[in-house]
Amino acid sequence: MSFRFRTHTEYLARQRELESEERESVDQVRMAFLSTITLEPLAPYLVVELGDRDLSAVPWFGPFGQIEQQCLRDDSEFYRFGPDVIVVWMRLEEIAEDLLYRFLSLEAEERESLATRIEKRFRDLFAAIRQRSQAPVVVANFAPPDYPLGGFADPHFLEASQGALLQRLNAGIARIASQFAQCAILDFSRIVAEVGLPASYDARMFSLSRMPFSSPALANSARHLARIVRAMRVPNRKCLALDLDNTLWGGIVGDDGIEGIQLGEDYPGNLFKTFQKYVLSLRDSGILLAIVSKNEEATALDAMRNHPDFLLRPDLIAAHRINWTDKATNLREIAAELNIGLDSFVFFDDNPVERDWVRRNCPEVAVIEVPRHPHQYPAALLDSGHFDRVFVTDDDRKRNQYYSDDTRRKQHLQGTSTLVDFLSSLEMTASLSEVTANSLPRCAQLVAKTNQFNLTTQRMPLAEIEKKLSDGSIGICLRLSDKFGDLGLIAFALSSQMAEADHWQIDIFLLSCRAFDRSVETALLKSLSDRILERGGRFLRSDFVPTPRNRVCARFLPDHGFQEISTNSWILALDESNSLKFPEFLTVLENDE
Amino acid sequence: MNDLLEKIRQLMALTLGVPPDSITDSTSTETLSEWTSLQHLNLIMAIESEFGVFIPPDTTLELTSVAKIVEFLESNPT
Repeated sequence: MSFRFRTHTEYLARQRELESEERESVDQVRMAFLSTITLEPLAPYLVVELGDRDLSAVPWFGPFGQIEQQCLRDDSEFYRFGPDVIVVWMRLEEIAEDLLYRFLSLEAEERESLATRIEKRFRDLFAAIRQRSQAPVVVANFAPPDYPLGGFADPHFLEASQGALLQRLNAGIARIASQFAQCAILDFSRIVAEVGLPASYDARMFSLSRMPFSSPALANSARHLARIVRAMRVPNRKCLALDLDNTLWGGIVGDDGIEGIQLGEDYPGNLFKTFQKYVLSLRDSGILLAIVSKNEEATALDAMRNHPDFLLRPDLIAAHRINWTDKATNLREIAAELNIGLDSFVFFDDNPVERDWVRRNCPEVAVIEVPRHPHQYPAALLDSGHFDRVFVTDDDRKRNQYYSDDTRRKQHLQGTSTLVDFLSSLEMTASLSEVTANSLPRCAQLVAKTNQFNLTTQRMPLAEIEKKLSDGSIGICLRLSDKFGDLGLIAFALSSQMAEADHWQIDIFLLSCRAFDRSVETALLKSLSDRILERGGRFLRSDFVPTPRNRVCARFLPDHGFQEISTNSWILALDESNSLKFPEFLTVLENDE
Repeated sequence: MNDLLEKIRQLMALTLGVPPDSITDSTSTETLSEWTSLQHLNLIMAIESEFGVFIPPDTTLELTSVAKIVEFLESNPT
């Protein structure tokens, strides 16, 4: 189902439809393309694929072959266009054709020097762009050759094969991209693999106009780009809530019993087991799993614990509601239990009535249209794009560990009498340090997705934070651990000097919901104010920008001695005697990288 | 013939983003400024996708007027 594309005319028709609609609230994305080929025919595909994701594409195509010419001039048409996203698309056919056509004639050193030259070209290009623009860059990697010169023997050449060299170049591009802020890969080798190599090209169009792609390749390229752009601009979902009967196994456990449900190595049970493997892979990437099922809890949990082929065992599930309550109510309860918003949820249930109920009663939840046949479940889940992300931080992959540590913390709380006792008994250590290149991606991620404890809810892109830091702003991040485990980097503050030199303002001050109610925000503020004092600052200003989601921090400024000078605008006099102190139950390590 | 001409007018209007009324059987790349060389590619892809035909490279270069497109499609029915 996922690789059915519209025809060229259908794309054109949909493009005209989108153009005629009033879409004022839609997020507009100006996309600038620099390429060694003609890419203009991509425009309708791009408009439609972004349109399908509630984004509005405004493409601009540089003259083909003029990449450095556009990148190296501050006043080029390319920078004047003011791109929100920059796409760089170079092909080996144009930049190193010997690697494609004369590969067999090249000595090892010649291949090596060509490869080095290509990597250098990419590195120089990214550096040139970054000096002049902070917009995210998406760079296409290389497709496998249509016809490997060694023919069927190519794979036998091992490290000297053409295929192996292309893979190495693609790994090189990815490595170089990761060294620059906000630089992502358009996996063109995968785009053509999905469409099929022979079906991806149109040699006639290329010879007439230097536009090498078939309609399906244009469609799939636009779809990949749209998913990447969406993942960059829309905060990603954190939790997948799943039904059990006919979703994670075939049949109804209440009727069929644990022996009767379909789950195992043979049809149809293997379809459900395969689906569970994909779900588990999402958990590995940091997505929380929840179960929402209408069942007798004991019966369902028995199957989840004891069925030999059930993979998503209860200890892998962050929260569950197995009862006869309606699923919207259950989802709200799970959201409260996990301390995340309903807009972080994706709901997967084979029953259209349940889906409709959740859509009506929890419109923030993304509800996947589940296909009738279970062999299509994995595609429906993974092609939904709800869990797409372009950059994965280490913190993402550890997220599930934090939550299961948290369950043990809550059990521990029941054995202590006061909150201070409890906090002391957690043996917390806070490491405070200035933001570095290592911690910047995680800080930017927190900025993009923290809704609750966020004083200003200013969505500042990574590149802008980086720019502020290099212009002298102070960025502090806080890592927290306790006796149950490491919570990771959970708080971030950014402060800049104002026009009056001894006044500093808080641009960003936020705390991940994972670390609420532990007074670590006090430690962050204390550390920030110490550093501002050292730099000669005497007053700290901050706005509180109320949103429907950030009431939890409404009292933060007054509780820490700030005075309101106008509505939601606050000031704190900093001096050696100010009342800010590190909480005594917290071990503080400063400048600990 | 009239049906075919009408279909082509609709398709060209869609592709080039112009009103169907602005396209007649005497329209050509000379008379319609929106019919640029890049839009010509777009149009060729649209004709192929809509009529299920293959347009050889030489023909691609020759189909520069509505009359020629009609003639080509009449002699190469799907």
